[in-house]
Amino acid sequence: MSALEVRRLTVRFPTRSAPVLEDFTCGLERGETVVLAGRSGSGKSTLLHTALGYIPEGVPAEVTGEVLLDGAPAPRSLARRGQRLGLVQQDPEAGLCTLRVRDEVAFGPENLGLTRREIAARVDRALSATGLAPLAQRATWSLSGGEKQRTALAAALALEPGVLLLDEPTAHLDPQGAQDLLYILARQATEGRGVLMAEHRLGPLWSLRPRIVCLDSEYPAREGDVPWATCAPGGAGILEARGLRFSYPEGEELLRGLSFAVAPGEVLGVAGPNGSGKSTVLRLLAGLTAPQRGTVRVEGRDPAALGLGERRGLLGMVFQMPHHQLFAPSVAEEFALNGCKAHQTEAWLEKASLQGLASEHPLRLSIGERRRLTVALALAGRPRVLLMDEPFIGQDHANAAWVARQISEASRAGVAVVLVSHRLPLLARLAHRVLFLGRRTHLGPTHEVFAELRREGQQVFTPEYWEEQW
Amino acid sequence: MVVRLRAGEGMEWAMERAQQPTFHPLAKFALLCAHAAAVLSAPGLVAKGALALLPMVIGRRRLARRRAFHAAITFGGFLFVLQAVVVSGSTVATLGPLTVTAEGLQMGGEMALRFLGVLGGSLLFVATTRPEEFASALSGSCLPYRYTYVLVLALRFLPLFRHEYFRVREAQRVRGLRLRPWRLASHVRWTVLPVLASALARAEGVALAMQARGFGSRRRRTTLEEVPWMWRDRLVIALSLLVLALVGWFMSGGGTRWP
Repeated sequence: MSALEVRRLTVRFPTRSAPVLEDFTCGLERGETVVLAGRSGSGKSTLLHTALGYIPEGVPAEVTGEVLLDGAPAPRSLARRGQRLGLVQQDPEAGLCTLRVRDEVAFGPENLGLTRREIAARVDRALSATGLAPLAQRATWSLSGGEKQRTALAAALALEPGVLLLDEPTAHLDPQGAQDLLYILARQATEGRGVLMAEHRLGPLWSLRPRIVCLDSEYPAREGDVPWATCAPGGAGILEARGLRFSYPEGEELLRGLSFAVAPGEVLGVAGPNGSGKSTVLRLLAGLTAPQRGTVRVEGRDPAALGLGERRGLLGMVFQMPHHQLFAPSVAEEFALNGCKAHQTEAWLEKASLQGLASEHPLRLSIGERRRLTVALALAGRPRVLLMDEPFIGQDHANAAWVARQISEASRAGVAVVLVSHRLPLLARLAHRVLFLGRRTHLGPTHEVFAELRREGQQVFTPEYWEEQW
Repeated sequence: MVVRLRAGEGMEWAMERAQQPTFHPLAKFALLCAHAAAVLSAPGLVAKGALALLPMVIGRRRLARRRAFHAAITFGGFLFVLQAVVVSGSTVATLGPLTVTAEGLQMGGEMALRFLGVLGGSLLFVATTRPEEFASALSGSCLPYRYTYVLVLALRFLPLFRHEYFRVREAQRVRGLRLRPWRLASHVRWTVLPVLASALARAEGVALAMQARGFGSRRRRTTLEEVPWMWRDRLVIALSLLVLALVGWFMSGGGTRWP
């Protein structure tokens, strides 16, 4: 008997003509790991959310078919389903509702009206399974992305569900954080829990020995058509950082005298663990944060002192969270803000596989679509310097390859690119040089930096470790 | 926080807190209300000053670490100086074009002390009370937990929304969008509405996640760490009620002298 089974499931959203899932049937046994694979929009998240009851309880949709738990129809109530299916969402922030790790993990059992002794036992078990016991008293807002994701997992485990549902759980994690999470999931499966996971990056998941269920007949698509970066272009740096020192209040020093220059047409990849200062480097380069010491110059000028008009055409930026930089009421107006005419907007939408979404509100798009929109907007401004923070998050192989090709084309057109990414195989292809921020900082040609990391025993931060094996 | 432990419920955290001599959140809240009422109604600078200083003396270490407290002192000082030179009356000193009056000093002193007294007490309450504990204590006082939990959610989301607001402003700067400070409609359209839309989407997501974890499915929920009532909490409540009654009596003209 399957722990979770969906039978002939069809889900149709009122805003889209075609059903996202059609007549779909799939089962998951206890102790089994199933990975849902497929292109963006193929219905992976929809399947997880429908199994739990989010759809149609919180998201209006027409749903037909059956969801069975241990052979019996799943309860209609979201709360009762939630006791048997624990969900970990892609955005670790999305499910956190308390202020302290221990309270967050206790929240579910408290709602079930269990005795205090039982709640304490469940909380301790969940914290220990996820390695969070030392962080139990920490404020949830002060956690790193990886720690938040583990907290969300511990909160789901405290409900002691038979099945764990995970929606791209490694998307925001650094390689080490992703590896730790996969170990935890492997242990949960051996303890008899079913694990159903939506994921684009299949390579790292082989340690779980999963069964792959494709929701898309055209899957897989490889990233193979992403061109390798050729020799680093020479010439004077259009972007220069000298002696940058930076630390957040009450935090240890993140950057200790960092210096580098990026030439026109060069791609500088930035890698390292969560919290090592990668996004901070981009903020310093964009002039959004002032360094405590050192200087940043873009075409010889301080970026913080650039007028708004001067910024356009010089600096383009893709933020880590796409919704932060989308503020127009429609996708078309976002392009109009960049000075794009209607035909240019149409061309960009087609390039970014966003056809037919011109009148849609940007926040109604999926995370992957929003990300491609922000990449297209940054490129549409024709900047001479492009700063990109995790542009591959939420992208399937084909769309990640599209983003990578845009970066490669921009580089060939003479744009200096600083690219922060945890997708190391793509970063290694695109970057002429790599800046690794970690216990030790490395800066140099891509292959040399990764070779040095291998010598230091930090294989988890090398592209080979995460190379797709599909 | 004082926590009575039952056998088998020994948690390191609770043990640690049990050794700290603090009070039940509702007792502290009653004391906060009584203190605020007394500070606002106390006549004369000496009484006001003594009452305003009370939370600062009791919680000097905790308050000293709070940026909000430093900002409150600065703002209190500003209020004092402003009143001293703005209110007309008998001249005490002349500083260039500014005239400091006795009435201004009196009024400025009272205003600054009221402000610092109420804010100091509130900040001390916030510094010594976890929102979850307060929400749980309010639920224990017959208020439905669905409403009391709003407090926890508000505190969870306020810093997040603040963060989102600043990120949106930064993104506008990066994209070269110029918003004139006086054009409110532009700010509403390009900043307030996007932040609000994002906040609502996030709130909706969290509400669903809470529901899926059983929130609201039962009339009562248990709490991992409950703060029991002690005799000293009851004493504080009685004292607070007495102070509130005296303030009410005095304000209604029942007394000739402030107690």
